[in-house]
Order: sequence, then structure tokens, then C-alpha cells
Amino acid sequence: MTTAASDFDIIDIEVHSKSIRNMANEMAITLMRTSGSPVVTEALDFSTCIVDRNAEQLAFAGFVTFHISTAIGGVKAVLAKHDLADLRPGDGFLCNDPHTSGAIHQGDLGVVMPFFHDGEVVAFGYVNEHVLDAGGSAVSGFAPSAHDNFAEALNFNAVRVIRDYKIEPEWESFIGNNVRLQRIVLNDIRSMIAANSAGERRLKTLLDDIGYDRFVQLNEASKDLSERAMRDIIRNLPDGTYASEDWVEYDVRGPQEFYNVKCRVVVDGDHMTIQYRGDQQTDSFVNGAWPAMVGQSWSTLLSQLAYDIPVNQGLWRPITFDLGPKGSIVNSVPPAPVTQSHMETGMRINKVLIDALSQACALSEDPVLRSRVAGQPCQNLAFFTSFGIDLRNGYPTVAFPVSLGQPTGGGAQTVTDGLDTYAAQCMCGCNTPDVEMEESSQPGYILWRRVSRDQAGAGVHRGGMGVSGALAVIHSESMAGGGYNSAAYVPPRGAAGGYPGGAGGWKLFTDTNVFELLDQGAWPYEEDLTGTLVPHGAKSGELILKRGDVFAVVNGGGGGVGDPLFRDPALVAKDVRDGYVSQPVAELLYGVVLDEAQHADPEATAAHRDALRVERIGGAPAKQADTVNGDLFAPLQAKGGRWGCSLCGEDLGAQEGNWRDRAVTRETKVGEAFEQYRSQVRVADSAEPVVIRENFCPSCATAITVDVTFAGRGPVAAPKVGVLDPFTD
Amino acid sequence: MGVDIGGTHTDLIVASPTGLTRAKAFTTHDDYSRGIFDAIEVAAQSLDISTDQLIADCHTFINSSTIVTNAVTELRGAKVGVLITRGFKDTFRIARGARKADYDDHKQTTPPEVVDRNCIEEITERVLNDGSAAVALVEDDVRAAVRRLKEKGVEAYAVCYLWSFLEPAHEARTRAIIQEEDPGAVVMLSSEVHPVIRETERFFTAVFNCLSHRGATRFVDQIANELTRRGFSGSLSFFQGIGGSVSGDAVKEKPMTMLASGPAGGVMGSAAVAERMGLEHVLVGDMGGTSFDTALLYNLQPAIAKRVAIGQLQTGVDIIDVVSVGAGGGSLAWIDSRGVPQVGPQSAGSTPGPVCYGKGGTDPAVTDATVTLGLIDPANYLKGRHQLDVASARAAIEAKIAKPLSWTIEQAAAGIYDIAVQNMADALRTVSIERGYDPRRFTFFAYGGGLGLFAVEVARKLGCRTTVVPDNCSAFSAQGVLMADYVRQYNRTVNWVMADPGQVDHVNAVLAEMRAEAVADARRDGISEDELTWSGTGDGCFAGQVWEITVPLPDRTLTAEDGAALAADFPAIYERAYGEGTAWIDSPAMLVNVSVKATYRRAKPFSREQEPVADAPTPTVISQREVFLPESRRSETIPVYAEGDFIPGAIVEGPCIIDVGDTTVYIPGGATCGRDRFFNFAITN
Repeated sequence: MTTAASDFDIIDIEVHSKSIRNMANEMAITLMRTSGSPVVTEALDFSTCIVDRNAEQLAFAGFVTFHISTAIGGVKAVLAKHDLADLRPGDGFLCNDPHTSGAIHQGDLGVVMPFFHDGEVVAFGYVNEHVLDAGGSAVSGFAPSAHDNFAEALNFNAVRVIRDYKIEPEWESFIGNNVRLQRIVLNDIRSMIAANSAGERRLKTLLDDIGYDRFVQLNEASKDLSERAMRDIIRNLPDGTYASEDWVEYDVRGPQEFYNVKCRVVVDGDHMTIQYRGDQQTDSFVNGAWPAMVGQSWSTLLSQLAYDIPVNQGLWRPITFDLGPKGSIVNSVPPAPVTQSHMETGMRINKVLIDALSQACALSEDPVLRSRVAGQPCQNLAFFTSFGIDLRNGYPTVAFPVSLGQPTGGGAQTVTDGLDTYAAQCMCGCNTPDVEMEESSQPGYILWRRVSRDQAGAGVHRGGMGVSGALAVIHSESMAGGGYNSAAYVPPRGAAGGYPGGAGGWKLFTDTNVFELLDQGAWPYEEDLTGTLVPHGAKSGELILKRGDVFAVVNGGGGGVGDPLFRDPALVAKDVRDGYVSQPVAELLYGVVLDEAQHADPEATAAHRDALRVERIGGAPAKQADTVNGDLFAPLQAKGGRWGCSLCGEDLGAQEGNWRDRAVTRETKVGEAFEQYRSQVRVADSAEPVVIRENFCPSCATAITVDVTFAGRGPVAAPKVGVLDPFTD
Repeated sequence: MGVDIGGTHTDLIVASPTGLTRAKAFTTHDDYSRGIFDAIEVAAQSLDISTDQLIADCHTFINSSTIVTNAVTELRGAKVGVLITRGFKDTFRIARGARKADYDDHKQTTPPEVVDRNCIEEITERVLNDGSAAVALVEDDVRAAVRRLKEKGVEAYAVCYLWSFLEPAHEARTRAIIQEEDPGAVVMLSSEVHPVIRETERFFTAVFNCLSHRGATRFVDQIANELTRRGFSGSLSFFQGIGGSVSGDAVKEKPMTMLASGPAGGVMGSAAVAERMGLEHVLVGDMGGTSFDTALLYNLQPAIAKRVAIGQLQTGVDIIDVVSVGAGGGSLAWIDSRGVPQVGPQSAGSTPGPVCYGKGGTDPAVTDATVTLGLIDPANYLKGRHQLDVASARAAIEAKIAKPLSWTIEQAAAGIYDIAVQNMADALRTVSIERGYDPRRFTFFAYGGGLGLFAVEVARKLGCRTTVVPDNCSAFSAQGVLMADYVRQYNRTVNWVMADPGQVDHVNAVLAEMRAEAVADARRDGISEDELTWSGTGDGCFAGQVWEITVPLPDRTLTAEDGAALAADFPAIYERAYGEGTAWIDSPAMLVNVSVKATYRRAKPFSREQEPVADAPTPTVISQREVFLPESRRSETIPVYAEGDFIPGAIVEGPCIIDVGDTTVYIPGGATCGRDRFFNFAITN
């Protein structure tokens, strides 16, 4: 820590840091109130940030947390092209290129504006939102078929499009001529200018009051305080190396391709190195680039560890991000297409980092950190974007029904079941728009919308459930675009013996009976709807929606936490009565037997759970789990150089080795497993099958970890406690 | 008489020709009328007349209460059954997406179950977004569902159909069937309680009205019956969260109208006092034991929070926009993970209360800091009703704050004071700057027991030039309900593109309908049409936007020219809120919703008044007290003035303290405090 914090009254620092945060908040409120994009106003897919002259963060009012990285990337891109002396009040720079201007993907448009005081640049404002279109083949910012980034969308590499707080007429004309929704996109850029102006006005008032020098000093002191808090958290994680891996999916061109992504978290005292490595970059929109990799890492870090520390550059100091050699799927370079950088490789980053951090938290001495073990959120948003003409008014329209694809289940937490409408981890505070809003802005009717049954990963706390729904296209003859599903084949994992959640997915029906039913005064309910299923992969670059077609979604759930055989039977019974869990699943995964009134039968349940334990380890358990003294959410413990089961004390081998070698492991192909779970997953036919590996304590039969991996791969890595083992390439 | 029923106390204000009389009693939750009569008895004693005489002489009785707020926040109330459009049973569970804007994954919890899931019945019917019925109501579905719900003991039915605000026939027919099957049951139609787009808000509003109906009805009836029995023959009315009061029947029809009526009373009281003082723009602050509440009055009109949420659950109810933060007297001080002291939101409340209360509190609270600084006289707190333990307060601040930060006890206490001030200023920024108002144009109006100690420093943070601590400042909510008018408000969705002359007739028809409804409702409450004054507003935006800003409507039948003028003026109104150059281009201005407000101006109660005297004598210094001044971080001996002989026209200079009996006002250095003709303290910051 530098000396700055101690030079000031700590109260002054706090007052200052709150006032800068208020500025960012005010920018956010201005944007939310003035935007016309439901992606902003309903899904809250935007953020605002104040950055200092050195491209260091001062405050962040993010709903979309991955923009923490893009703000810095955007300002750096401006500074790389311009001296401060070259900037004028009211200048604004468009940044939407992941390769050059720090953007997450081209659909998330950043506007960087210098903030002036007394004729000098004193800071930068950064506003970013998902605009409804960014041109190119990417309808609303997603280009599933593009082979390179030039084919995806307009790529603004910090271009000065705004002068004197207005869009320059030539640029206005050019942008208007290249995006699908000229009026809305240009007006949204005006809203971003309004938000930045609000921040600049507030900053001027503050600087009139305290002056630039004191502003800088207090900023530095605030950063020091956030740094100190972040270091305290890292220090309380045990030193060591925690690893995870996952696979990015792409099946738009026929064959199902899987790209490996690896993560290592190396904790060394009060410093942490987060490393990602991946297969070679590819010629589709799944590639990751720095903004998405680091931004998504922050989404997880904020949700899991740093949730109550003011966001500023101090948070970054104790953490090194290492993306490895350039040219991989986690560190791609042009011409790699990147329009799903955030949702493909990016969302896998959330998953592997949650997994690695959960392993570290579970072994921490600090009870608060130990409570941060969590299941993975589903992260498999099943949605489409498409473009056509709205028959009601003859205007071009982009369909992006947020409420269908977004509400996927959250990961289970040690303190609660996961949230059903969690959406992606990065989408903090997002809404699921009302049906009446969707039917106003989208080209059709929402036929039904309900919580998806049996999609939650089982556990002591189960994952969130996800929401299902369907849209019938009514107000357009034909719309074209893409369908998306980032994690249809490899489902979200649970933690600490919790089970994987349903992956979810979408279906498109054509030649339906929608109009036939409507003509008869009947509604196309799920059970009455007929039509031809349009064959497609998990993603599609050729999604054509014709009038009367139905896009139906079953959203998946989050991973569970803790062995489901320890879930309170009364909660399981309530889920069955409520229709959220089916009875066979209650018996199979939770071991809960219900009576006629659908209440848990205590004796039958106990007996059935015992029988399931025998089945798990192929014989009667030698010991009984002690759920009072053991930790349901940290069944694996490391003590005296040995692995052990925290619930029965069973020794699971030396810490240098992998405890899985001592566990009883049951491997099931994902398709078979999920059929039993009644949960949704897509099964690959052109690769080794994805498998579920349940690892049970050989003594008490508790599920310690349920792995998701590919058949034929060796055991999933165990934590290396006390060993610093980073990737060295 | 004005009564404010809070969680602990029932406050009563009697306005009579001799002035205002205050009385307090404990709230009696089993039968609220008992607590009210206890308070009336106390007031009668002060006035030296019999209770029966006081009741018989009373011509207006107005009530605000937390009863509806409590029912909906604690989800306690009637067993509710829901009939909902088939396919959308989970609307309450989805709750428009319950993901909170909080990074912490542990806070992302499923919304509470307002209605038992087995009491939600799906009904086959479907209206489309053009108002046409794609699927007719299947009446047999309704009948069977109601029978099942009745069997389960449902007491109140919420009818929740998509797009019902465009075509309410299905909901209306459903009510008729419910009434056949379960005569006398309470039925709330979403199309009646909130006929506005966005089903989540409409449906929750219907459900919450059901939930709070039984309690609200019981409450209204108890008070009405008991007052009548005791000889009351005046007008009885109930305060609304949006300000103004309505009849008991109106409350029974839409109990949610009473949501947050307590804080609204204080705000409307401020408006009345401010009007008399000749003020226009006022920021209001109220400091209680657990929180600091704040609101804004622009041109003496309160800002309205539209479609308020109750926790994670959205409603369509509009209330006076009151922002609350944890900066009350009992709010606790603590040190966060960065080593920075914080205040609230955790609170010691009134039990155990701050450490200095000596009732078992161990963590230092805001009041402990003010006692440590010497701002409060420990021997004379609340007119001596509480003896304060300074030594324990100091010890707690030393152990929990001063030692860990290597500060002196006084520095730590001043630090707590500063952070409390900062939190209050932030809340005031939320209602002003974040809503597009410049606080420097506002007078800060401070009431509630403890705020006088902080008010000037808070006002300075915001750049307000004047702070007012009103006369009678510690029972302001009860006083406020007496000062407020009778108000009814009605909202409807119209989606009027203002420049389109073709829509004007429809908008006029909707406005006329709402006006007719208001006239009928007022007549039922004993108010005739010619006693009403009218104001209309619209929620305007550029087509394609989702948020609206409120614009006034001319008070007449609208013409195409009015529409054109509204459309032409809108960009300027918009840019005033969001900055020059931000108005949307190529996108027509429209009014999504229109609202009609009917007001009946009540006679204002009496209060004391005295012509200010030039060169009035300085009030008596009752003591000299050593205070660690938070603004200079220095110990100084400063005078304490008595309130009793502080006559209108007198002026004192800070730093000093004014002892008002049940509250204390601190005037920091550089500020001067005078007293106006209505006995309000007016402080030049």
C-alpha cells in the first residue's frame, strides 16, 4: 500500500469515494431513463464508469459487471491515438471493437468522453450499452456465421464520432446508413452522450469545490483502500493452485466442435494470478479476447468474493490476469470473429473461475470465505435475434425477446437455493420484461411463460430453475437472424457434491397450427401446438422465422451445492407439490419418498436414502455422515497433509495426490444421466460423449464432487494446496 | 384531530382555536382504536375538557397508519386466491426477474411467496395487445377454479388477466361468477386497481389489495364504529401514501392507497408550513430511530414515486417519493473491510437502542456520538424522560471505533457524525440531483427528534442556503395529515402521440371518464363537484423510450392545438432534465399514461403566530456547554439557549445550541438562527 491513504482523514476519503460513485450512478440513471432499447431499460445491459487520466478506474455503476474491463480498454484506446492536448470538450469516441478498443463484443457500444475542468482533461466518462444493432452480418450484435471480424459488424476503434456533444453529421449519416435500426441506434448514442454529460457536470461542481490536486490525492487514497480489502480476501484463501477446465461449443456449420478452456488460480499470500489457456482461435464468433476474458473474470470475482468493496483500480492491483500466448481462443487476435466473445468463451470463464474459486474457498479457514462455495449458474441463454419488417407499421424491426432467453437459473449458494431468473452472472439487476412489454416491442405473441420443471441442479441447496416460454411470430412475414445457445452440450456443474443443472435449449417450429387455432378462437398452448421441428444445432446462423412459426425455449437451471441426499425433505416435497420437481426425480436424486398428500414420508425417505448410499458405493457404508460437525458445503478437507471427508473423517490420501483416486466414482453419459434427471441437455454425436462423474466418499457414500467432463479423460485435477504451479508458457 | 399510528407509538395532534395540542400513547395492535382513545384522553386532559366533549366537538378526524405498509412488507393478511391467464401461472414467482442489482450472489434469493402456489388457478382466456379477445373467457374454468379456491379457505380473489386494462370484460365477468359462487367475498380486478400496462405491477397491485383488505377494513370499521359510539359526528378520513386523505369506503376499495401514509403526512405537513412561510422549493428530512427519510417538494408539490416496489415485488401504486437510508439515532457505527467507519443500515432501534440508553446496547450508535461530542445534554434528554449514560457511550466508541483506527474518542465521535451527515446528504441527492433538481435552489426542512443536530451540516453539503426546523417538529406526521387536502388520483394508459390530432378525442374521453369517476367517488365522500379543483398530468417520452417524465396537462377539453403544443414543448422539458442536445430526433413525443388528480382544499388548522420584533432580545443562555465541534474538530465552550423566550425576530449566532425540550438544534459556527412569525427556526447556513 502506498502512503496516500494514511495522509488523509479516512472520512474525507470515504466521502470522496461516495461522491464519485454517485456521479457514475447518476450517469447510469440518465442512460436508463433516456434509452429506448429494452436491452438497456429492461435487461439493464449497460454500465457507466469514471476513469482517470491514467486510464485507471475511479468508480463503476455497472449492471453488466464485465464492463469493468471495457471502460479501461476504451480509455486506453483513446489515449493510444490522441494526446490529451488533442482532446476538446464535447468530444466523444465510439469503442466497440474487442480487438482494438476494449469492447466486450461489437453490439456493446462504448462512448468515451473526456471530462474537462478549467480547460484541462481531468477524467474520462465511459458509457456502454448493448445497442439494438451494430451493422454487418451481426443482427443485434451477434454474427454466428461470420468467418472473420470484418464480416461481423462495424468495428469502431475509438473513433471521434462526437464533437461538441453532438454526433457529427457525416458520421450520423454513415452510421445511419449501416445499421438496421437507424433511428433507435442514433438516439441511443444521444442517450449515452446525455449520460456522460451528466457525469461531467457533476465532476465540474466537485472540482470547483476541491480542486484537481486534492481530487487526485483522494482518488489514489480510495484506490489504496479497495486494494487493501481485496488483499485481505486473497490472504484468507489458502496458498496453492486451483484448476478447472471446460469446453466452448460451436455447431453452426454442421460438425460439433469443442474447444478446451483451462483455468488456474494461483494464490500466493495476498496476491492472486488468474490464468486462462485455450485451444487455437477459430473462425467463428466464439473467440475470447482480453476485454471479455478479464471482464467476465471480474463478474465472478465481484459476485463471489469482492461483493462489498467499492470498485476502482485498487481492486485490480493484487490480481494478475494471464491469458497466455496470443492466437488462442482465450486470447484471440484479428481476424478472429468475436461477436460472442462475452457469451461463449466469456461465459465459460465465469464457470471455470467459480469452480476454481469454490475449491479454494472450501479449504479456507475463514468461515465467510468457506460460505462462498457455489454452484455454477446455467449461463446458457437460449435466445434469437432477427430482422424483418413489422407488418403493423411497415418499419424495419429487430426481434430480441429478452424475456425468453435470459431467465436461466443461478448457481446454488451455501445460504440459499439459486435464483430462477438469475440470467448470466454478469447481468446484475437484470429484469425479465413483462409479457405485455414483450408483446408491444416484439413481433408476436408470448404463448406461455413458466418456471421450467426439473432443470435445477440437485443439492442441499438446489440451483435456480430457469424459465420456459414461447413466442409465435405474428407481425412479420419473415425475419432472418441467428439462434444462440452457448452451453447446450456441457451443462453447469454443482459444487461440494451438488449435481449439474439442466443446460436448456430452444426449438423452432414451422408450419404450425397457430393461425388455425386463433381462427377458431383457441390459443396455441404447448399441448395443442403442432408443427414441424426445424432441424438446427445449438446455435444457428440461418434462423428464418416465418409468420406463424414458434420459437420455444426451455431455459436450464444452475448447479446445486452439497449432496442432495442431505436436502431437507420438506423442501423437496414442496417443490414436488409446486410442480418444480417431479416425483421420480425427488426419489432418484434427493431420496425423498412422498406420501399420498405429497408430503415427505420421514421413515420411507430415510430408508430410501440409505438404499441409495448402498447403491452409490456398492455396499453398506462403513460410517455415517456427521452432518452436525462436518461441513455439508465443504465435504473435502485438507488436514495435516492428507485429504479427508469432513463428514465422516475418512482418509482420502496424501495431498500431493488426487483424492478422487480413493473415492468411489460412477461415470454416466450425460444423455443417460439427464434422462433420469428429466433435465435438458444436447448430446453430441460427433465427439467423445460428455460424462457425469459422481465421486463418493468410500466410507459414508456422501457425494464429494460431481464432475462434468468428457469420456476417456483422466481424473479431474485436485487442488494443489501450498503448491504454486502456474502455466509457464 | 390528526393521528399517526406507528409501530410503537400513536401520535395525536388536536388543532383547536387555542393552538395545537400533542398527545402520545402506545399503539395497540389488537384494536387500534384503543391506542387512539388513549391518546385522545391524554389530549383531553391537557386541554382540560372531558374526552367525550373533545370527541363531540371534533369536526374532522384524519388518520395515517402503518397498517397497510406492515401487512404488505410482512406479507401478513388475508388468504388470497388468484385467477390468472392460462400459461402464466408463474408470473408472481418470476416477478419481472427477481435478480437484484447487488453483486453479492448470496443476496440473489427467490422472491417471497405472496400467494400459495396451490391457490393460483389458470383460466382459459386471452386478450391481445390491440384489446381484442383472441380466446373467450371459459366460464366453466372460472366456476370450477373458484369452487376449489373457496374449498381451500380463500378469503379474497385477485383476478389477473393479460391486457385486461385494454379490455376489462373478462375480468368483470369473472367477478360476477366469483360473486355467484362465493357471495360476499372480496374481489380485486387488476383492470380496476391499476388499469395500466405491465402485468407484473397490475397483478401484484391486485394481490396486495386483497392481502391488506381484511386488516384495512377491520381498522377502518373499528375506528369508525368506536368514534360514532363515543359521539363523533364529524368527517372521518384516512391518509394516503400519495398525500391527501380519503374516506373509509375508498380505503376498503383499494387498501393499498394507505401504503406509506405516515411519511406522506410529514411531507404534506411540510408543504403546508412552507406555503405559509412563502417558500417554493423544499427538501424535507425526517430523522427517526432507525432511518432518515427524505422527500422533495417542487413548487410545493411533492415528487411522486411511480410504481413502487415492495422488496423485490413491483406494484403500480404511486406514493410520495420518500427515500430512506440507515441514518437514524439508533443506526450503528462499524468499521468495514477497508478500515473505513460506516453508519447503518443496521440499527439498535429503540430497544436496546444506543449504548447511552443503558438498555443493553453494546455497539455505538449515532446518538452515542452526539452525546460524546457534548451536543446533547445527558441529564435533560427528551425533557428528562431518559437519563443518558455518557461514560458507556464513550467506552463503546473507544472500543469499537477509536482504538482500531488510533483516533481519540472525540475524533471517532466526530467521524460517526460526519458519516451520518454524508449518508443523509446522499439520500437528499437521490431525491434531488438524481431526479434532475438542483438542491441549491431548495430550502432544507428538518424535523423528527434528532435531526436538529445535523440539519445545518447536511444542508451545507448540498449547498442549500436555508434550513428550517419547524415548530412542533417532533410530531410532524400527525400534524401533517391535518394540514393536507382531500386528494384522489386516477391513471390510465393512452399511448397518445401528441402531434396526432386523430387521438385527441380518445384521450379526452379517457380524461372525462376518470373525472366522472372522481366526481362520483368524491360525492360518496360528501364532497360536491364544485368543491373540487383539478390537475392533469401525462407521462411523456419519445416513442421507443421506456421511461417517462411527467408533464402537466391543460385543465380543459384538449384540442388538436393543445396536442401540437405539448409535442412542441416536450423536447425542451426533456432537455431540462437530461441536458442540451439529448432530445431524440425522428421519434415522436407521446404520452403513455394520463393522470387526473381531484383535490378538495381543507381549511388549515390553527397554529401560533406572533409578529416578529425588530431588535428582539437574545434568548436566555441557560448554560455554557463544552462541545467537541464536529466541523472544526476542536473543543469549545458554547452557549445553550432556551427555546421558551426565543421570540420571533430574535437571532443567535453559531456555534450554539438551542434546547427545544424534546429536541435539540445545533447551530454550527458561521450559521445564524432566527425565529419567524410562526415560531419556526430559520437558519442561514
